[in-house]
Amino acid sequence: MLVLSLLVFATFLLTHITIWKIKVPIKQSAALLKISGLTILLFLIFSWPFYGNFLAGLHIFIVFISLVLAYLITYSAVEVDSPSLVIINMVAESGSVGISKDRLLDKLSDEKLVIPRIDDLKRDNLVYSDGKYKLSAAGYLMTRLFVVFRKFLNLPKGG
Amino acid sequence: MCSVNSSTYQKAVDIIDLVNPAAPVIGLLINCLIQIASFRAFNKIGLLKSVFVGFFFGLLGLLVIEYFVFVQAADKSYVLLSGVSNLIAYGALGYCYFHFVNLSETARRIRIMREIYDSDTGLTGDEILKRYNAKEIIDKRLIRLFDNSQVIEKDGKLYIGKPALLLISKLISGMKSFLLGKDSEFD
Repeated sequence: MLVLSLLVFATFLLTHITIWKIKVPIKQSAALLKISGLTILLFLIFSWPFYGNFLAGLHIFIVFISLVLAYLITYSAVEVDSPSLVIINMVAESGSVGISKDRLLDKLSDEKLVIPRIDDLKRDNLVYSDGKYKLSAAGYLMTRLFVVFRKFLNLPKGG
Repeated sequence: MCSVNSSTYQKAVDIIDLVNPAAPVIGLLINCLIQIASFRAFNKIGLLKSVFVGFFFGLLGLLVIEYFVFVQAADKSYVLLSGVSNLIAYGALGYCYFHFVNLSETARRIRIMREIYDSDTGLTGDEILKRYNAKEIIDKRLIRLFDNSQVIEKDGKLYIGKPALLLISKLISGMKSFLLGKDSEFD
């Protein structure tokens, strides 16, 4: 069962890399979710003789989904430049000369750090614009989840 | 009497067999509850430490379940492999939860959505930038980088401190290059 779980995850990764090498999808996370859904469904159907019962199939599913979620979360750092990692790279590139904070601000503007993220939210249908940006139903639910979570922890807004 | 005992025993075995596939999820639930409780109960623990505490107790919960599964199992080798699968799944879920907490703390898209959520009638682009902009993003990240000694400041200039995040950055750049054919989303 361990082998089957790792095999289905390896199949997912291979499929993902193959498709990306042909053409990178515009909505990358959505594409990864579709690939993972299709992979596990087909795998569970065709490998039934090897695991043979519902509980074992459920077990494989849970292990696979856990690994896929971990990969998706890591992939978000691949898809979008993390400001912390960009800062680290810029500081590293400056070497022994160092870099000033003003220089960081010059290079990392709203056009690089904020506007593209608003565009991502529009592309992913989490916000829409009718002159002003507003949350879609999906955007509202997602935001509410984080608002409630931050309230549980008594923490202010992040960012 | 013996048939009642063996029937009770069989029920316990059936319950354990049902619980085993869900063990990583149960571990994650324990992880989340303990993380939230420890962060609220102990002011000085810090968010990161509370995540590690939660992970540890979730792992303990998982190991307790695996112990009961192992003790009653006829096929010990199968159960051992199943236990390893569960440990891998729990590790992955714990990693996801760590990033969920991190996202709530640092993610720009979440913050932008939060600003829109808090407004009554929505926000224009300029209004979003008044509430959340590049300067705040850089200031907050520099504070974290200084706190973790990943970056140090000397005579008004910034230098690399501990190299951990730099290594992670190189790994992510490698993945970007391999998967996307570029080093940055702006290339």
